[in-house]
Amino acid sequence: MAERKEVVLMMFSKKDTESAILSTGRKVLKGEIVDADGRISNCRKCGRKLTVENLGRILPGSIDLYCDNPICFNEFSVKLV
Amino acid sequence: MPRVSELIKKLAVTLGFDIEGHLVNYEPHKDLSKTGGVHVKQGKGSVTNIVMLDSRGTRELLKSGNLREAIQMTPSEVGGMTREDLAGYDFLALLAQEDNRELLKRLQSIISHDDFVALSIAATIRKYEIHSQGAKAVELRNRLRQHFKERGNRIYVFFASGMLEEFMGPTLAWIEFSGTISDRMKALELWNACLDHMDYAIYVNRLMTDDEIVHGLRQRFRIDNVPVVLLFGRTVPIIEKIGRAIKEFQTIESEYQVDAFSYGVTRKEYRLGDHDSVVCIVNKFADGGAAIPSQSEDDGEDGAVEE
Repeated sequence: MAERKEVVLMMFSKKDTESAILSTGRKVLKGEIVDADGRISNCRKCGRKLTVENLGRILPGSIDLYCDNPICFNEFSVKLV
Repeated sequence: MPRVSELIKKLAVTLGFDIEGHLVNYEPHKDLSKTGGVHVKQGKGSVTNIVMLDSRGTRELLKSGNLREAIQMTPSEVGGMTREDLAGYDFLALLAQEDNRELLKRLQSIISHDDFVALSIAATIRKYEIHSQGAKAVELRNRLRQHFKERGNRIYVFFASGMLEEFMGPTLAWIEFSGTISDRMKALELWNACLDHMDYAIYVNRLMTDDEIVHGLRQRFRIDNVPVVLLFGRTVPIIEKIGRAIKEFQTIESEYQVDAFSYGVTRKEYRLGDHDSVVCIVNKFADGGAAIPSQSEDDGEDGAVEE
């Protein structure tokens, strides 16, 4: 039996970033992303402060936010090997 | 449990929105039985289906409110969101990982997480190069160097030159088949030894002659003027060839009357199952015998022989 894996990535445009953030239960305050409990969100990998401008990906885990640095995506993608 | 793409389709249907034309599918296929130098795994192949939903489709779904259930990860499926301008990179990174899955999988349990991430980025850079996107490849390579310093760059060179696959491939395949913890440790030593001096490395294969090795060494020491050169290869005849070439090189160099250098060789042999590998670090000493500092002085590991 062949091993099958499915990876689905939903693309969002820059202007839809805010709605994408809201769909995860977080909020946007003055361009910065804050968790439901009011803490400022950081990139899951590099710890950079996340804003509407630099949010790159929303990936599974605990619905984690990643910045737009490609290295942060690779930090996640290696889990799929 | 429904697949993520099915989940999204279902969600779209309930919203009265036809998502069919908005999903883009890619199915990289790899036949496991035909990869690697040793047949260790006879499988019927693995398929990774990468599905991308375009931004218009996502917008419609976002209007519905909550997409949380689609962002999930199980061993067989992963769902996430990515910004439109980064999706190309993400797709390529996943594809590069898929293409080199066997190699990556074998190395995953051996090398450090940072090295592993750097290797996955190196595979993506190679993918950019294959697709003739030089500017993006350079940009990513700079990022790799910035983030993982010189070691990241060496990992890229090791991977992109094909030396990693050729030199370590069979050994890694053997480790996957019946490797013990000490074999994994030896493989890690081998990996580290190669990376320490990857800048001026000579990989010796079956077709390379003794003269070519000597020429390579002389060029690096005399023209490039480097203090350390790494020589590595596998299988017994190649190990013998390396030994002969080093002796010949030292003889030629000893005939210099002016501008003479002496050379020290640290030789490490590794035996993993039926696979023999050798890593020789040739150090150039300044006239009079003072050692030119090298990055990876031996700390008395097993199998290290000073010549």
